[in-house]
Amino acid sequence: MSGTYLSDVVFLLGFALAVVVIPVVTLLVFGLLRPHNPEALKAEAYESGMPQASIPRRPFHMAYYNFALVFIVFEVETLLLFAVAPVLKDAGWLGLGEVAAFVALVALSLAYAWRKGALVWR
Amino acid sequence: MSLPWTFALGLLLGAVAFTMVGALTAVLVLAERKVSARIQMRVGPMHTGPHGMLQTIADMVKLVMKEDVRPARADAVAFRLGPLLVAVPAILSLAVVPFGAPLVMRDLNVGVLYFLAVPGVTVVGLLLAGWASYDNYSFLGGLRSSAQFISYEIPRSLAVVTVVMLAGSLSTVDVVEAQGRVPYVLLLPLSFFIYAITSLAEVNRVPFDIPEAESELVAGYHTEYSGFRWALFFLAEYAGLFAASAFGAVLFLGGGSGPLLPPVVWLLLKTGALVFVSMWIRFTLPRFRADQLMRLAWRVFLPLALVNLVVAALVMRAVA
Repeated sequence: MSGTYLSDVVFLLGFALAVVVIPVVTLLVFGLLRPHNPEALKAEAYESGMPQASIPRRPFHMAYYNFALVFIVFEVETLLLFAVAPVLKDAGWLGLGEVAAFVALVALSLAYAWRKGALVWR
Repeated sequence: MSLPWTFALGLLLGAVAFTMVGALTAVLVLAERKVSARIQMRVGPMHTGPHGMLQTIADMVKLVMKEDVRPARADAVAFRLGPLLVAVPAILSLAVVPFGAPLVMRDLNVGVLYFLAVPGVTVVGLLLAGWASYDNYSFLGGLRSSAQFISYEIPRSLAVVTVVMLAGSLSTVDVVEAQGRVPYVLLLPLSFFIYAITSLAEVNRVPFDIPEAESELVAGYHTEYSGFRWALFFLAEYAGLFAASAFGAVLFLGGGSGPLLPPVVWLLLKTGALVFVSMWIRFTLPRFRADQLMRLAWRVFLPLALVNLVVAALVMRAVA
């Protein structure tokens, strides 16, 4: 079991290396062929033809933060479900009940977030 | 097989996957332009090659030969890293697609989870590309797309969990085998519905394309990219579309199983059908507003996915 795991990881390392190296090499090779005429105006950020009106490094909408928090709760729940899902078929009613209780508890947190207004974009 | 050989095999198949995605993008872009043309009563590209068949090849040559422009105030490292972080995970996810029984690059024992987790890295690339460009449109586009991406990831994963429950395995090959007689779309229609809609959001397709809503954000997170770096975003979009459709076919439509034709043909037919539907939707429906999009994810799809878990548990008991 651990042997297949190790070879899977080694395989994926090779796979990922190829997928990263090919575009980088392509970019470098065609860098020798494509034109390169830097210009001050060309290097300006695009704002529909106007000079940049505001600096993009600025605080952003609070709602993103709310959604990110709720996301973490449910992402972890989903991950834990993936851990038990393959064996749930043989777990009997008791095992199913335990998982259902877990899901119900997290669903309660969704209801809470909903009630507190964290799920609306304001 | 010894480890160095496994590594070499990985390298080789990685190169194969990248080439495959390049070719796929050429085909899908042409298909998209032709389908949209039909829907809008036009003919689409006609001049390069017979019926414009070579149009995307010409476009690819043009793209690699274009100047690589970077805004002066952009963060150089992050700007370069962004497109790679978007494109690479999309291609990596193809490693576990079973193209017919023996034709799978790697049958991981956690294949289904791998398919959901690896493209999840994309969100970092989107955020990075948007932030690094030092451009207001890019910044807002990056924020919006990452918010959308994480929101739809949850109902999507919860829909996939139900398949794992029924199949009793996380290996994509086992999931196809478990659908021997009945494809899961018949047992879990609600899961398929959730998966199909949320997948459109995951790959930024209409009606969920607000991150790159042309009329308000120009091109969203890739506004400042040009040439090959822009092409990487494009490659990622079509690789993602193909991967999501292929997985829809694997998880719900019985993968490569079907009469007469070889499995790989069946899988490509089913994938093609799903890709076509997404193109059809793209040129039929208008785009959602940003707040509607978030509400739909959290207040409609997430509760629906939780209810669906219960439904799937009952189906699982009934089948077993």
